Amino acid sequence: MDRRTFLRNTTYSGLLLTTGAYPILASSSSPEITRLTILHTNDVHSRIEPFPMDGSKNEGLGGVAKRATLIKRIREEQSHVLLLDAGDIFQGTPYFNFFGGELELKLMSEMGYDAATIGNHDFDGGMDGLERQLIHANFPLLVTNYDFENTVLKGKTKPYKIFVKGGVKVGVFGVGIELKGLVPQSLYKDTVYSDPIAAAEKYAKILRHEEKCDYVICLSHLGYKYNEDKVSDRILAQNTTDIDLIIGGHTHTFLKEPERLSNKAGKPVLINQVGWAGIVLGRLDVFFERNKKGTCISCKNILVGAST
Amino acid sequence: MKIKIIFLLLVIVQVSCSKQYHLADIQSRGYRIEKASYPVDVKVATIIEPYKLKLDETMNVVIGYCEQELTKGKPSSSLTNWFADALLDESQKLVSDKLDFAVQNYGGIRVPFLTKGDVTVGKIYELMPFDNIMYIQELKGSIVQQFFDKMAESGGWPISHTVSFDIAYGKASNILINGIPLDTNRIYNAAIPDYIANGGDNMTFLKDAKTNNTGALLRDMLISHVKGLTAKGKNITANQEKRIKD
Repeated sequence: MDRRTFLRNTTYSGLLLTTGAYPILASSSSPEITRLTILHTNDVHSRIEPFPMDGSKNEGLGGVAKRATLIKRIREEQSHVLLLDAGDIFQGTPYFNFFGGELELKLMSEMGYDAATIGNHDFDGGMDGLERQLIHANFPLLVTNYDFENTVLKGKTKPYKIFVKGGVKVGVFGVGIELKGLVPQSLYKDTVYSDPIAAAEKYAKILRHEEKCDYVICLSHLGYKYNEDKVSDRILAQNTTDIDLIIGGHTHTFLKEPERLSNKAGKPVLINQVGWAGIVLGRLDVFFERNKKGTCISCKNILVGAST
Repeated sequence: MKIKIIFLLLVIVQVSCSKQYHLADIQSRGYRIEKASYPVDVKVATIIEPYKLKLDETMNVVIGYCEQELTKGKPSSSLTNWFADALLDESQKLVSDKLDFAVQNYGGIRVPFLTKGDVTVGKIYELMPFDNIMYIQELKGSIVQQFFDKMAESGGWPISHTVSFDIAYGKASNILINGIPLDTNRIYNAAIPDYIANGGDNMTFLKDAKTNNTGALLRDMLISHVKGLTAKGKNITANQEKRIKD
């Protein structure tokens, strides 16, 4: 065992046994460490049951009832869990055609989703269809760049929500993709789309500086990246200042690991996306150290090597 | 599968008397939900059950048989060929004017395969979950050129057997419709789903064309098509013809 591995193992075996706030190393200046566990999905597309066993590439994968068990197990191990979705909850199996999204939202509520953003396909039942189904969701739909003022969704969504987990203040907001040319106007009606970068910059700033959030998460349905000149999560990350993490969707991209980019101020931003259909549940564990000194003790101690 | 990566993030050091949070570390992993990965959650399964029973009654009805796997791809593929041909056949049954071609937007076909074996109503729903309606449009040849150029730009779309063209420098060239070169002054009759006819996928130039709404759902047309084959003792077969070449 080399030194790096040894350090990692000793540090994490300690971390994994405890939850909440706890000392990371036994010393007089022990900092408190809080672990925030972020679980996420995107583009589940009404995939209630696993893909059918029909010899196709995805056969047997996914399924809400299994994901629910997985989420419950993680909640048993971790105290501070956020469960998020980056949109396109609807459309893709007959469950949507027959029941209009009712079951999708009921199940997400049962699993304890904390928030989701709105994907282009979430308009597929029309504005009335979406509005009618919201009664089945006990979590908010967050979006900052769709103006629903002149639609039935007026006042039914929020730009952001703040969660306090183990003392850590986490701000979550949402951005949606341009609807024109992608969604028939007969479905989105008088929804007004605005520039997601400007909206993200504005709300991330509010969350960071006015609401004093320790961590800012953007739920995005913009798409991971494009060959053409079109706003994506990568462009969003590099052109804003106060986002820590972008949980993306739309392009159905299976990222093997989160991508780390530098924002406008040179600070790190992570982007993650976990494909589609609920095949993968994404997880990020963010460790926060709290101390009085303005220095971070564990930041230099958790010097870790490659993935396991 | 377990992916676990660990980041060390820089922390901005600020001099302050109050306690503050520093981002000390981030770990990530993804959980792939495989067939035998996790047991089902009983509560969730109970919520699903009544919905599932209602659906299964309709969806598990077998309407046909697929002889070999059809796959979706660009510029042409067996699945996109079959899809567009089925739409042309079924659309022609709804109108008296001779149709020149049928088109489907690539992204509108929602599964990458139609697997070998029984074809159920549910399969067709997965292939075409959208409630798209078929329109018949009268398009001037110059508009057809513009339309096919856009298709070429995105690497090729599902198109009926009556059309062939080459993708050259991102444009459509050597366009043949029913074996005859495209005439930019002629009017062509095309079966086009409402989503595209209304300007979807940035086909805005189609919006002004003379349009007849057949009122038929694409999904219902596909279901009738498969049932029609079965009634004639036929199966779905793969046609690999390269209608669009790049």
